[in-house]
Amino acid sequence: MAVNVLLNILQQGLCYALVALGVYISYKILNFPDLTVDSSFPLGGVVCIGLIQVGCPYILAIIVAFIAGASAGLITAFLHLKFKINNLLSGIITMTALLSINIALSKGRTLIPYNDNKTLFNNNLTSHFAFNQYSSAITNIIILIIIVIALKLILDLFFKTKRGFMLRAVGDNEQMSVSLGSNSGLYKLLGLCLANGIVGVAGAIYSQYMRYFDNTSGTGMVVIALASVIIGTGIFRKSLIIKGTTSVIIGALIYTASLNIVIAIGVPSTYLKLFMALIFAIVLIINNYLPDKKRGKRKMEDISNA
Amino acid sequence: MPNLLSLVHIDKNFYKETIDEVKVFSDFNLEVESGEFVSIVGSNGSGKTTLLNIISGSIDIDKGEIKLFDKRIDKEKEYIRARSIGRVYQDPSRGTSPNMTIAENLALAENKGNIYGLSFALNKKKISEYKELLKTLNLGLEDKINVKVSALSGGERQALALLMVTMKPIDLLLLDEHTAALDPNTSQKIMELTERIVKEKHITTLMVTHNLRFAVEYGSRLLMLNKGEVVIDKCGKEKEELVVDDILKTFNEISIECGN
Repeated sequence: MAVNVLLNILQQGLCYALVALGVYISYKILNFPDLTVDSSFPLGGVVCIGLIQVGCPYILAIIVAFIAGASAGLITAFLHLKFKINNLLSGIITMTALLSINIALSKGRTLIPYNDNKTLFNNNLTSHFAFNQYSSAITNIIILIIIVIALKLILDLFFKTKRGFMLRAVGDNEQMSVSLGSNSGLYKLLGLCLANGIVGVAGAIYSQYMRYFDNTSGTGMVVIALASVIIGTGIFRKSLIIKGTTSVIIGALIYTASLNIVIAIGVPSTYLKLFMALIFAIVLIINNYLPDKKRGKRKMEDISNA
Repeated sequence: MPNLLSLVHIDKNFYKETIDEVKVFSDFNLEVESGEFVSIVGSNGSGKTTLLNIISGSIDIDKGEIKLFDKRIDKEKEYIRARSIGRVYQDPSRGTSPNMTIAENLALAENKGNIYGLSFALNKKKISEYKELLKTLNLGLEDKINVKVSALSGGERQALALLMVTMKPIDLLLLDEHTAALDPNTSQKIMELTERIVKEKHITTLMVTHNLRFAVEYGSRLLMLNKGEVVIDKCGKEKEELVVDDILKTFNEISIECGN
């Protein structure tokens, strides 16, 4: 029982960590609370399963899921930048529109199984690792760890480049990025495409891990991702060694663990979303009362005490 | 001497064609020669900050032309103009990126005007270069190179902002009451630093200030604006002979007229 719960937490948590890494870019780096995620997640899944079922290799399907997610981010960015629609509303518009698109792409089915199609977690290589009842879960975990760490390292490298610096600056102080001669809108567009592209990949990988595509899997994904980001960056807010990307992965694992524990102690899964929201609210409340929170903008009296 | 900046027949209204319409400039003209350091004073609402805003492009003009050298810039976007026009703001948090370190901020500023590509922004050589550069400020910032800018004082941030804005060659520097949020001691230091950098790099500068003493002591030309018009314009010998009391007298007359 306990082992199964732990293995579940790790598998789910690592999938959510991928989403959290995407949302880390939009929410934490760009300071853009992007609700597109609830729909770009299943979009990645439906694109992936659709391609795999017509014989596309699963790696290619994941890459196309990235492009699909990035396109969703592009639409949100376009609505916000071109037509000056508020950031939350831009995300809501894209998210709502995509609900229909996702249903159309899944031809109206809520659940689509992968059956015997080859996936990341079910291929010639993974079939060699079948020793006992836990080996499939452990194989999944190893594959997910490799993907999550690879993505984390790529993002860490990107944030050290000039373009990565400018992306951070746009989220941190847009006026300064303009003063440095940069078109801040283009960077927001880049960040939102990247964020939703990663979320699309996460949706694709999540569906492969579940072995079926679930059209409702995106509901609440924004909450899961934001909670992961806020828990992670909240815990390690003072650390100079732990990077933001590492902290959101740990945040995702902690949030998933707390949800699974709620279920394990016997709360009916009907109330899962209720507890999802409840834990998120608790996280936000704790976060607001954390001592000496570093704020970007300081009060005027601090400024004059030069 | 050629004109570096020309503003020709500028009209600027806020809330145009509404009951709240405010005419800031109508047929406003200003020429600034290359190498001039112009101090601009005037009461609230005289159009000082609007003047800087229309030059930098953060707000558009209704009519007229703005030329940098002989090139019209009034249709260019703010971020394009920023490549040749630097600006330091009153609020010290506006010129720097608070959640990035000093070194990271400097690396961004050093790349201004170039493509922000996928090469690494920082390396050991650059950090030691930045340390040397920071030493010239005499504020000890070289020891805080890996500290987030949000942990610096307002004066330190303003000094860093000045350094960043002049790191790459610019044609024109706009200073928007950049010492107003600082205590008297620090604002004196920042003012001295400003003068040193402007002289070393021969940057043409427009400085808006409420500090009449700074306006008189620093710079090669003094403008006083009132209701969108230039009421005092002194340069050269006339400017050198100015004392604070002279402009304070005019300033008070204007203020009484305006009911301030």
